[in-house]
Amino acid sequence: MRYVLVVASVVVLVLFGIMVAKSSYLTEWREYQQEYQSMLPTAPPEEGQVCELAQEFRIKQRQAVVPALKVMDRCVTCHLGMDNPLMDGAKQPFRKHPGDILTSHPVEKFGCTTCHRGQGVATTWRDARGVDVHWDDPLLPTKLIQSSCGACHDAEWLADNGAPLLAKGAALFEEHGCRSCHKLGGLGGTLGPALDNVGLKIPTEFSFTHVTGEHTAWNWLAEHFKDPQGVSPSSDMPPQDFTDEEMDAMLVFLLSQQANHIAPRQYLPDDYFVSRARETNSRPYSGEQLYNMLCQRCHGSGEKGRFDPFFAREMPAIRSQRFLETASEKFIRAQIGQGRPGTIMGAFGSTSSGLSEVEFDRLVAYVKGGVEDHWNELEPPPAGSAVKGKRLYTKHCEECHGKAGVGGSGNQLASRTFLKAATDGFIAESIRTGRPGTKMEPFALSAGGPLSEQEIGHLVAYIRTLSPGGKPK
Amino acid sequence: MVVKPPLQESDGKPDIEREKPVETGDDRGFVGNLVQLPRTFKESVVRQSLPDSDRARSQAVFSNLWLHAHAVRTHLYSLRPFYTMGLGVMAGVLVAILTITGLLLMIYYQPSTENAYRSIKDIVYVVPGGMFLRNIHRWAAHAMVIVVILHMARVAYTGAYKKPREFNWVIGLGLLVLTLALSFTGYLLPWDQLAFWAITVGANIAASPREITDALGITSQIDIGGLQKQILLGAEHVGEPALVRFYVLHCVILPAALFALMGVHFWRSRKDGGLARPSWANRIPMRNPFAKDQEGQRPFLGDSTGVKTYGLMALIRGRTPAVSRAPDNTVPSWPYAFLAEAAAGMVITAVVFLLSLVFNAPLKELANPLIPENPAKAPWYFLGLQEIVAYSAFAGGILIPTIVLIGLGLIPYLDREKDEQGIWFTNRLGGLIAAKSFVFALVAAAAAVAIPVTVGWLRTWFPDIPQLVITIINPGTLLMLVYVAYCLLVLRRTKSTRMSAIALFSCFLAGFIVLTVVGTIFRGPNWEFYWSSSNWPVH
Repeated sequence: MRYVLVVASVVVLVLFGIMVAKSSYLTEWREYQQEYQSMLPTAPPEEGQVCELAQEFRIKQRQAVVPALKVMDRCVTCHLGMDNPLMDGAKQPFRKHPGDILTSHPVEKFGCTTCHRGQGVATTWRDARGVDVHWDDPLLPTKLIQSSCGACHDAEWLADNGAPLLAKGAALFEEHGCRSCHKLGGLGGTLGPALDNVGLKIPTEFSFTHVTGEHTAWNWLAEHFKDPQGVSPSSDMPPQDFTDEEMDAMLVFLLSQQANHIAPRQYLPDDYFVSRARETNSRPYSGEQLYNMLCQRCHGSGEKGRFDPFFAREMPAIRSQRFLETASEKFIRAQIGQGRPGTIMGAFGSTSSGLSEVEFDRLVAYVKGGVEDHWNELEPPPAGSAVKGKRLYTKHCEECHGKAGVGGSGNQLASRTFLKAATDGFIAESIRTGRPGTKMEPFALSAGGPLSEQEIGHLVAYIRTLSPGGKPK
Repeated sequence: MVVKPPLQESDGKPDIEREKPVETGDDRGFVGNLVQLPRTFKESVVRQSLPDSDRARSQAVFSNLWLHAHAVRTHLYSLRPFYTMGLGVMAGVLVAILTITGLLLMIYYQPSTENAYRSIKDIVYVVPGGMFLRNIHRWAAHAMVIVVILHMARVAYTGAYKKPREFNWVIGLGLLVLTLALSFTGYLLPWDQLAFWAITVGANIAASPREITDALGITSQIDIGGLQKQILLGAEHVGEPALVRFYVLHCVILPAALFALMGVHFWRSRKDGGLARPSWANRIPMRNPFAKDQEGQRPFLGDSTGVKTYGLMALIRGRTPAVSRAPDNTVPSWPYAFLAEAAAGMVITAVVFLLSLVFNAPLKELANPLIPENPAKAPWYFLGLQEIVAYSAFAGGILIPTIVLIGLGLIPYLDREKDEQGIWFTNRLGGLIAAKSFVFALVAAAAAVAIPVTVGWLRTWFPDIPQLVITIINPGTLLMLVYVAYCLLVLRRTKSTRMSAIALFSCFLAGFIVLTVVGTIFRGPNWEFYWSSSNWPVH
């Protein structure tokens, strides 16, 4: 018993000693500070120069505390040369902060994690970096740091003021027509999720089941851009073929989207309000702007049909001369406003897309392009039989429009919003003369096609049966 | 019959008076007193000099507030290492470790949803030794659950719960419940994802009597479950009120109850004559392993002088060895019992320290009510119950634990056979039954897990079955019935309540182990069965 006591006591003492040593002396930050101290000069390099001297350096934990931003950053415990000119270009973690950003954003006022993210309270590199440890906000890679500027500053102003990548990302976002599917600032399509707070999403909000790299929001987004279905199997998003720089610009722009995070009033820069004001003043957008934001991604200029290899279908030529000559403004309104439920064409009416009434009118007017139509003069075909029409449909239409009009490479016809708005005359005329510039050829005998006027009548009768309630009021 | 033995030195004074240091005539003037200050101060604190004889040590044990929880003499049988394995002492030492580390943690911890998580981060990163403080607290808490259960197993298997210690067994069960409650309430305090969702599961278990009231359609009138949850959380969901409640429970109410019950527990075992021991230990002289020479190992001796002394302090009602008619198998508590206790305490301290150095206490992301953990697991010692909660929160969380506790509590009242106490498994048959029933219970519990995993349970075959049926008929309740039936079978075969009690405890232990292991290792997201967590769908 005596020996058990002696041995156990010795073990306890030794273990306790190790704990004391590990927690008080053998810490990562202490080693860094000792190394930093050895790098400091003992006398100023030049006479009269003021600089940090080795003998004045005290080994202790340091932190930047900013209650207004809920920041308690211990990064400066190891990143000791942040404002030391002698540490310009020194090795990490001692290097002087690059650029002059710290003059306008002093550490005492902003902390570190406000821009860099990461776990500010931590005192080890692994935990401070916050990747694959239990922390919601990992450290931003340096190449994506500009995203943090966008949390407060105006993207356009930033183009010339230190964050060109962010401005580039903002431009790319509009160029690529991301709004066709994604809302931002309330304006955009409904096919994909809104992106206003994508920069605030924490890693656990993403599914990393199919992600190969790091579990960070930016890595998820990057892998998702390259292979949307690989990362998120139910996604409808086409893969994006970005260059490395474009990818970084897009990631920077997306990570800057932090609508729900508003800095305290005293921290907001003037251009933040400029940005808000510009957003308000630029509305209502012109029809062309809106078309480019919302429609052009799929329909191109709209004058010709284009085959989209990802969706494996023909995108309708919504601004082709023949279409506009036959379609009424009311019909176009209905198609844009209600979309084609069940297809990738979402509804872009003002309630669903965030357009104002004026903007919606402008978009419709832009698509219509002032072309005179003879909608009301389109001649309906003679009444036909749906049964006969079905046989004709299988023979002539099914290849593109799909079985029972569900859609294939061609348009979906079994669509309530289409059939409700389209008159018999419009459908018949579309069959008769087709759509120049698209795969839809003329089918009427008179135009060199195979169908008589009566057969067109049968077809229209059949097409009418494809969707319940598919009759114009 | 008490016989006053001849005293070693006889000056006619009672022991107590003689031992007091004499202080009169000690005034040496200002300077003299100042010089003497260290000595006089020390003497005023420790009123006796270090005792140098067995009797003086006994005296010290008797008159010291902290030591007098012991009898001045301890029976050699109680000191056999493989009788108690020091488990009770270890539990007590763990309470001390937990109290000390807990108090230190309280200095830094802030019980608010705003600050709790951050204050834990501060403890981990900047409080000197804070990470180890937290690790020690965590692992000591886990160790305590294990040690308390093992201590209970020791008492059960050695039959130490028998008359007159029946009620102390019940108090011990109370201490087990308090241990688990302390662990559970401590679980919420870090306010991380692990904490938040484990307590959410716990709160839903508190609300589970609704399974019954819903089935009876009286929830709108008598909502016991809702009331329990309301009392526990102070709100509908885990939030600030719950955090404050758990904090107060964890740091004040439950520790106070624990200390009070521990006092009673110790007091009663002291008053019941120390640890249970077989009757032969009072009749047959035992070898004293502590005595260094042949001489000292002779029976009838306790005092190193070779002369038996009995002061008033050695008298315990009804338990005094009859001098010159029976051997005295006791040794002075100081140093022998203290040595053994210190050894046990140091061993468990070393274990806890080692764990704390090797494994850091987990701390997940900040609690986020919008992102549920999947699986949301309770602390490991509740995972056996969570295994049943997967079928019915009421059955697993309230019904079965209540029945188990009542069943265990009844053991000393139903097994009143006058067997020898303090012998592992009582006899050879008991050992056989303990082993057999343990194996049987392992198999039965494994089946209770395997059958639903492979072929499904009632809900698989009858999707519309009322929940009440599953509350009553589920693998947990059936397993319990099988165990009870098995113990009744043992009772019929052996005609011995003691043997049946051994079987019952083996079943409890094996069932607890199997279900806990399954819940801890083999359950993944949505409580699905996985052979390894590496097969979990990655999130």
